[in-house]
Amino acid sequence: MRFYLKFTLVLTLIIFLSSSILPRRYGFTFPRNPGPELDKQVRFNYLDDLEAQRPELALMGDSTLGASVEADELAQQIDKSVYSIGIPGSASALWYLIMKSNLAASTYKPKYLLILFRNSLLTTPGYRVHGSYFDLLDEYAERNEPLLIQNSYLNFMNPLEILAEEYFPLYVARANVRKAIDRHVRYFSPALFGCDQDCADLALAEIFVGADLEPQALTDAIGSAESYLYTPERLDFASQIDQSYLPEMIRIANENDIQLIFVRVKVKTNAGDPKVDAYITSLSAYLKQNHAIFLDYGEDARLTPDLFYDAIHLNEQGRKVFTPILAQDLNALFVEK
Amino acid sequence: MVLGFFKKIVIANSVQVLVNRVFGFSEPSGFLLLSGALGYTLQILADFSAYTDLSRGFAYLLGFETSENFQQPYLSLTPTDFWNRWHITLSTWLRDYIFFPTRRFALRHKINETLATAIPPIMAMFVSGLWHGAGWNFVIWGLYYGALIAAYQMLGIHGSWKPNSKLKAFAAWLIMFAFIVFGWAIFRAPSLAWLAHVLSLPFLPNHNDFILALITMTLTLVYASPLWIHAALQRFAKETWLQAGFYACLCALIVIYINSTNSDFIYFQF
Repeated sequence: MRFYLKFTLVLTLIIFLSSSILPRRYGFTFPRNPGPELDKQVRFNYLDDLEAQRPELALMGDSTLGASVEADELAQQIDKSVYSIGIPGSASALWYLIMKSNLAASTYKPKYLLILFRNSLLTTPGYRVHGSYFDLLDEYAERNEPLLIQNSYLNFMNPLEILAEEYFPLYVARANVRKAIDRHVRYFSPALFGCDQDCADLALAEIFVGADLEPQALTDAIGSAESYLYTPERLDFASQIDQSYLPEMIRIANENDIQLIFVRVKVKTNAGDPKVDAYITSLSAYLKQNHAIFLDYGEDARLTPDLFYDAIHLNEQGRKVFTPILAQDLNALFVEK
Repeated sequence: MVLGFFKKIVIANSVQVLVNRVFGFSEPSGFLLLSGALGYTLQILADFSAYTDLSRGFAYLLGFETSENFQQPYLSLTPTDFWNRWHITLSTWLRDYIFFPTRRFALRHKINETLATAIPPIMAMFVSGLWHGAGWNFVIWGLYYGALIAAYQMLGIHGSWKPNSKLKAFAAWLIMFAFIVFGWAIFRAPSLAWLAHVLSLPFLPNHNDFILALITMTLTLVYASPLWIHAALQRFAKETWLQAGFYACLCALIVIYINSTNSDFIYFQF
């Protein structure tokens, strides 16, 4: 029993010390609003580009956008100027922020905004919002983003987590402390061999960005990351739509006279899953109801397995096949309009 | 239970990020593979023993005391010693239901002494390999340990073998640890063809591989250190303020690592 008493006393001391040191170290005040803290800076690079290039059609999506569509070729085939916002690692939270901070704020609005997505990506606000993905979001977020905090963070916290976020400094500072530990681990030993932080970062970036991955490992990594999109909860369109950014993205587009075109790309993960089909049927009806255009290539037989680089990205040949398919359908749409 | 949560949340989850990447490359250098195998050696112990610690902890809360499953297996001097310390419940079952009956059968039928020594451990470890998974990796990993146990026994080095000097003990430990790490490389490799290919590549890494290997090794050392401290405290400072402080620090680290992502470390975005 005495040992538990010692343990409790030391733990209390640690909590007390961390509660007085960490808020000062990382600039928190308590009680605080739950959720991550956003900085004041907002990047306006897309706003600047839109005003300078004045494209008729803007494309937005994650790495699958670059893998699926050759923007210059598309522009040629539809005879319209095209600007591409393809951000690897992005998802609906970042797309909403860019629409809000860059597209809506721009003095020039493209006539069409085409958003390329796969399956449930449009209604999964908690996807790609932590770790380095948060840093990406923070670049386009203002200091006060209640919808972002609610949809991407608070909706995923249980009452205990919210309480800890409000009153427990050790918990709030966990990402910062973790980052500090990771930084020490990452830079310590390379420095002993004359490789400073920049050198170590460059080596890691080269290794991971240009990684020649073993095919099964790549499939496993993608499958693991993508599994988030296919849980029964994520595929329940009715329960997800009001917690997603889709209504707000549609509102921003409507207010700014931008015609939204949602393009569902084909992927190899969860192909033929009846739950995905049911989700897409609901999504399609919702988009139609809200006057957004929906082009669905999710089951397109022309995109054969040999046109894929991995489970979600088309290869070079796939891009050459898909770009004219998309151009043809867009031309048909533009004629209708 | 604190140690169980710590091993899983802090150690295993942190180390596995880089280990997965190293074993995901199509052609890592031998040095990078070594760093990945060392990382996996820590990861699998932390992961596996964490579940045991947690189940023992929960059982203890309900008033049951269950047996230990891991007793510092990486301090083993021989393969038999290793299996006496690693996954003890399974090892005991294998010994009682595969090893002993096979050995008795061999002796009863007066099979050649060499075969009578070699077949029982190989059979037991073959079953152990299959128990761990239905893949060639696991079969070969099991046979590898079976062959190691047999070879050690033929050399007269049995499970109860004790070296007569510290230098010998250190050498025996180093050799056995190298065998263990190589065994985990077989176990974790995406395929045997991959492992054979990587082993045929040059051992020395290029600059980037070297940096990643250094980081992986540092990560492994850093995250292994709490286990060493725990073992030392158990031995020399049991139930002291020092040990209480150690467990309190583990709790604080669990809070820091729980629900905090480490994708920042991996630079991997789709």
